[in-house]
Amino acid sequence: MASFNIHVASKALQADIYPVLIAANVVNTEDFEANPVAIVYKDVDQLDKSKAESTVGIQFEGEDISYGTNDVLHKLAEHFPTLLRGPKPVLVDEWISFGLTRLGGKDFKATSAALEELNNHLSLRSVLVGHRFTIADTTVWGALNANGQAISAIRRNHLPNLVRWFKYIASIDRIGSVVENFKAELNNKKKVKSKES
Amino acid sequence: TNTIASHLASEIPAFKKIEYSDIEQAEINQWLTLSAESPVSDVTLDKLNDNLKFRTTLLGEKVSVADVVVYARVKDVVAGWSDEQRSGEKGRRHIVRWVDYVQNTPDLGLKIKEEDKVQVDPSKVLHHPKPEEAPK
Repeated sequence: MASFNIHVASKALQADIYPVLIAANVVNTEDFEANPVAIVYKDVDQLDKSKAESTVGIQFEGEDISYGTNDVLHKLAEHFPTLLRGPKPVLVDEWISFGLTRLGGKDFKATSAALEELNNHLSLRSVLVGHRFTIADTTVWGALNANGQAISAIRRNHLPNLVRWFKYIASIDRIGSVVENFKAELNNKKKVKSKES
Repeated sequence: TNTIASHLASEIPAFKKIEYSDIEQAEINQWLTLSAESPVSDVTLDKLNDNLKFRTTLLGEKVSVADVVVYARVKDVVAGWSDEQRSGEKGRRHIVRWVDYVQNTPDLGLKIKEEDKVQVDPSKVLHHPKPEEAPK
């Protein structure tokens, strides 16, 4: 039995969705007795029409649903501190904010500066904080995957440390497979729709 | 010692479940051979540094016995490098990053004692190369 539900508006921005789906999958693929997180998709762009942040939500048994990517990630991190936050929680939380605020992709210059900052940070580091991936890596990696400008910058290979880290995080199956599966699912839906019409 | 290393590799649990292609196996052998000279030459260190620019492990993302053996053979040299030699304009920064990865990553789980590790301060980077178009 799942301990809590994560609700996802599957038509919302991928930048809101990817970091949550990846963190949830990391939790579910850890060696717990049951999958602690159940994911409930709704084919809308907002779960609650009166709340702009309601692209994703998290709900513990008997509690009210809490909306917003930032809230969902922090609730998950608080619940699975060893797995998601590791030994340096403060630094990890700073990278969660970085992933959710600096990689929105609306401003070309701002995104370029953020990518260069990441590249410099990874000069002597293989992961963002410490020596094992944390929710810092999964959040930033998920946000990058939702940002077209970032993806094309990574393909140009001019930021070697960022490219190296990006490939490494992608190679961890419980992280990399999440984005692939989500994209495959979207494609399937599109195919079904075009057949119907 | 390379024969011993290859034999040990087949006994280490971390490597047992990993399959290597023929090309990867050839790369492993190449690094075992190149790093066997003592001391390890500048040419080899440059080659190692270049190889690690876009790769987390010697093979890319997979760990192998080459990471462990080459680490053991270069760690004392790296430990003696100055800040300039580590992260200055011509520093071999990618080797330093990789050394810190190998000695600490749970991907390998080497359990090296703190006092035997190369001390690396990842926040101390003397020079950040400007983003440039890499050769195709």
